[in-house]
Amino acid sequence: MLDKSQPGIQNLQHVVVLMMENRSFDHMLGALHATRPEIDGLTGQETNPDTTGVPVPVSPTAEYQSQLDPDPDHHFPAADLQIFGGVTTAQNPNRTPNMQGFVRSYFNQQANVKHSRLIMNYFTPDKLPVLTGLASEFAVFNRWFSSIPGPTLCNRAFAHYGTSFGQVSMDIFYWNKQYKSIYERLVANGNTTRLYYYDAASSSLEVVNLLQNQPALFGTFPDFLDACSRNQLPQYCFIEPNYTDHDAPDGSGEVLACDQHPDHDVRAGEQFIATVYNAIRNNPKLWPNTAILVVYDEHGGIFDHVPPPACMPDGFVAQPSATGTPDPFHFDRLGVRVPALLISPWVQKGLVINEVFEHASIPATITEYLIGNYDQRSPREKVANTFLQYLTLPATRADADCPTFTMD
Amino acid sequence: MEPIRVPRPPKEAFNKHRPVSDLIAKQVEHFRHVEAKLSDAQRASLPQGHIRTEHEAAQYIRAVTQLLLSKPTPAAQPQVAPVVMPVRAAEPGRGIAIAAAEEKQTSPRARKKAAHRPRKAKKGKKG
Repeated sequence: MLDKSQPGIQNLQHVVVLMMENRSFDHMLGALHATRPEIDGLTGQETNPDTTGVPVPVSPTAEYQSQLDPDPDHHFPAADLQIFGGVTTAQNPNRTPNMQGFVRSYFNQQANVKHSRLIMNYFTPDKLPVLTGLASEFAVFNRWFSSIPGPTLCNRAFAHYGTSFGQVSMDIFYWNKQYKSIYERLVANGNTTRLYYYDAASSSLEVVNLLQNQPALFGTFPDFLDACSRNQLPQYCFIEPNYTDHDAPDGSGEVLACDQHPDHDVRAGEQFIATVYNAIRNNPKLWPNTAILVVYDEHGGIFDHVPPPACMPDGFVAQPSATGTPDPFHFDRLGVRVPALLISPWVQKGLVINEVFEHASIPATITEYLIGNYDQRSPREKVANTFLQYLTLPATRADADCPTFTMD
Repeated sequence: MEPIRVPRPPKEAFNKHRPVSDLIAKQVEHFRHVEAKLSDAQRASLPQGHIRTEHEAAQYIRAVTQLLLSKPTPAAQPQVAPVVMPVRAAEPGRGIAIAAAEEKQTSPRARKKAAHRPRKAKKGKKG
């Protein structure tokens, strides 16, 4: 239960969630372990066998672009291989996740042993000054997992609805009206909320349910920045990055994808995260009363060393025809770990959060904070941990103690 | 605390002719599903043809998004100006417009006008 007497909560007026694309925790933040052992990153000893049986160690040689082409497979069967190392339930009904199948999974796409090893690469902190800078200055989650060992759309559904309604894929589905989206709940409760996509050419991934039926919930990224500058940010908003390289809709220039989805340039995503942060950080009327969550939707097929834990079943079952494996999936295990940061001047510098979170934690947190008791939620959302209680400081941190970013 | 410098991507990072990823292919599939519910006149205004590149996907997605945003808004829902927002032009010799959003905003009246302006039909690539 959120303690609303905390100064950070009493002052809180806005929560902003930015969900990036397809990078694992170890790939982006794992190197921080070397200087901050409390962060559950990489020791450098982690390995995965390649298809010749040779152990492939993790390597601090990740590049911004061109290494992860083709896009590593992260659909359900591939994620199952990555997590369980190729052990099936037929071979071992009591199999446990060992995170030993990433290289073999990537090999399956090109049958190239040398190329398959690239899936073990990770970034050094100097290459990601925004993400690692924010992780050092605010709170980093050691145990934020994607909601499903699978691809983007079903994972993002958990952030919007607290469930994927039985989906483990990217297929079209219509939501079960039993569980409304967090946006619909907030509107019904008299709260303000928006989904901001980058521009019309990138648009939203929430097409079939929300954009089609409730377009008024949406705005563009410039709308977000405009709302920040005019102190009219909604109480809750969710930001989608730009998913494609494309010409600006008004013909004024080139717009680079900033979602960090392989093989898009990771630097563009760094700039995007910094732009979101700066828009709030540099507005003294917003900064003290806004909390920002930066989180990735799923791991994108890239190595992480922490086995996803079992979790509360979601009340749905995906049959083998949907999972692409011999087994049904009962939504009783989380997906691979992803980077997640909580940013606010009410957050203790360098905080490391060890409780387990997943994307259902997002609607769970917003519902708890803005609505209160609300029973029509998925079993997963009802038990999901919430994150605003980490705004624990008795007063905001000094302005000079909170970083700002300048773009090259 | 000194500001932290954020490197920008090189110009060659931009490749609008990159083949669409599985994610974008699925996003397009979802938009196709929505397109099927539009009127014949609305559908006729959309880019036609097979989508292979990010640029082609973006053109199509933009057109359908604009149609969806132009639908009447139920009174109970919050108002959002349906608009294609300006994106900062790439500076000569620099390449991208990732931070574009800090450009001067269009006035609400101009946005509304732009949103209701009929768009010319575009032809996509064949095939």
